[in-house]
Amino acid sequence: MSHPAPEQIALFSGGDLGRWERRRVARHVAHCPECRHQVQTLLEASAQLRELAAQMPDLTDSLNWSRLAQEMTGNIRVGLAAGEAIARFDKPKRLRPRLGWNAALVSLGAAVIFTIAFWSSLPPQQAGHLLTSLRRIRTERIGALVHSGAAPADEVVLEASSSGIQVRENGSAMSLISHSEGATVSVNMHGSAGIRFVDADTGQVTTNKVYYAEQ
Amino acid sequence: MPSSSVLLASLLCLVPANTVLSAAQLPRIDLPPDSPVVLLAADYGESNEVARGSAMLLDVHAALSLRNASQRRIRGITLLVSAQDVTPGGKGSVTVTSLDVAPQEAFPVRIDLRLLRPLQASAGVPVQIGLDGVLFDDLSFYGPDKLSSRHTLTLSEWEARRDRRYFKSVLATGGQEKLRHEMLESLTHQADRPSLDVQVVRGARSTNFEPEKQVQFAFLSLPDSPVEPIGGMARIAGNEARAPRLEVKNRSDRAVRYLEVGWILHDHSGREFLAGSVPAELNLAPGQRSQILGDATLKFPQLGGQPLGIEGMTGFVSSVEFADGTLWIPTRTDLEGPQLQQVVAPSDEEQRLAQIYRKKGMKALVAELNKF
Repeated sequence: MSHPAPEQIALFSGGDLGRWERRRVARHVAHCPECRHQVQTLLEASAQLRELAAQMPDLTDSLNWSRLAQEMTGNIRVGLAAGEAIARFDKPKRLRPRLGWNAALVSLGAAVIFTIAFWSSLPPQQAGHLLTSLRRIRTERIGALVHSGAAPADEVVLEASSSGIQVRENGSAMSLISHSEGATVSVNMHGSAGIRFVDADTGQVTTNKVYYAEQ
Repeated sequence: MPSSSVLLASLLCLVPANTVLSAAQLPRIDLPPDSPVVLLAADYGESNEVARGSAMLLDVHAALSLRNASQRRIRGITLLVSAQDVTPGGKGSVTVTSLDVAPQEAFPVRIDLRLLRPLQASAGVPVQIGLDGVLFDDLSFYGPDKLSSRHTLTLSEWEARRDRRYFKSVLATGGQEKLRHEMLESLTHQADRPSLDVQVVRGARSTNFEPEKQVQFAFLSLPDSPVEPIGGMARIAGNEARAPRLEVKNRSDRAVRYLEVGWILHDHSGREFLAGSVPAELNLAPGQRSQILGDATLKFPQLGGQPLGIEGMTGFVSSVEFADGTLWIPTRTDLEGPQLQQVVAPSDEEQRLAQIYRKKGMKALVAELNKF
């Protein structure tokens, strides 16, 4: 029985193998005590490292994740720009006669199979990063995404403008309206938004506020 | 022409018609049996509902008439407005400050509310109105205080007393001409303050495409402030600011239980505006330090019609509440410093007095000041 390479065992224990490779190594490990022992050792070492890391000061703030994501986005953007630049050159004249719809369908099928194979072979984390970057590029190129339906569940949004304030959640909203010009808007990081106005007729000072529920 | 009449009638049928709210849809007002205010009348004159696509829009215009049933003068009141069937995650309040309501006297409170709810939502009583607190002239308080109304109303009353004292001293030393000058300056300041739309999202990560950066706070030093800001930072990405983190020190000889730090933002074109405040409930003994964290994200769509790019931040202590319930607020001198004067709004009382001057003139203003 041929064992998987040590690198593959290490990647498998970290969950970093692509889908098909992962399945193949898992099948082997299930029947091979020697490799199972190696995986177990690596998992224990990984757990120990995590414990040690947890005892270290939190460095999350100093890691510039957004910069890494930006670099990835930048690389994809460069690729797209290069594609556009090449497209500007005159296309070479067709030397062969057109193959027709059959060839187009075969190419399309091959492209779909290639995309699915590529996607499924990516480790989940990398696939997630790639998806995020592609979404960003789409948003940059065709404009902001507008959710016509309800807002993401559990996201309570407070809005304050000179015409009034609003608490919005899952497509429902409650607004308190000011009926005076020159209203003063204020927000509080504890979770409230307010608007203050003076009634032109009575001179009464009223402050309307909206809050998150836990306040 | 018959055909045009039919066409017009058909078009009118397509226009969504407003429907007057039924009794079951009107707000339910619940005041406790021992409440120091009683409801005399509630007028829902133009309240109505209209279908908007797959949602129903309810417009509630309530003019409440309340009577002071206590033996003390009322200085402020907060009503709690909730629509749990519509927005279970949020609620609202209507606060009226700078009042001077004598026992048995009536006073109005106006509530203009708009609810947007899906058509399939339950059609029961959409809005409940309750009492959150009443502040009296001796600074005593009544109410459940679910929305920290005691602090809000007391703070407003302290500011009102400070500003009335100031304008009375202006009148005493400079006469009506000097007071007129002050009022005109106040009205100009109110009109010149940049108006700002803002969104608050709880604990959200940045959704901006620009890189996020940590920006350090600069602090305005207010000499009499019992709490000193030591340092702080927040995360900024384009027009979003989030997760402020501040370190403060109690330099007074009294324990502090609540404080608020005002947060001024600067954009790349040099404009400044008051973004909001970072409040903290804490127990800060004399000489002790503490950290304040905010978990919300502030988003500023635009300022004056132009996109906003945040470049820097300044913080200042805007109010402190001691453990014994007394407050510290900035003095008029503090507020007239060049940076604060530009961005901090006048107090409720200053706005009310300026409105009296604008609507009724100097004589009415002087009479109002002499009432206190």
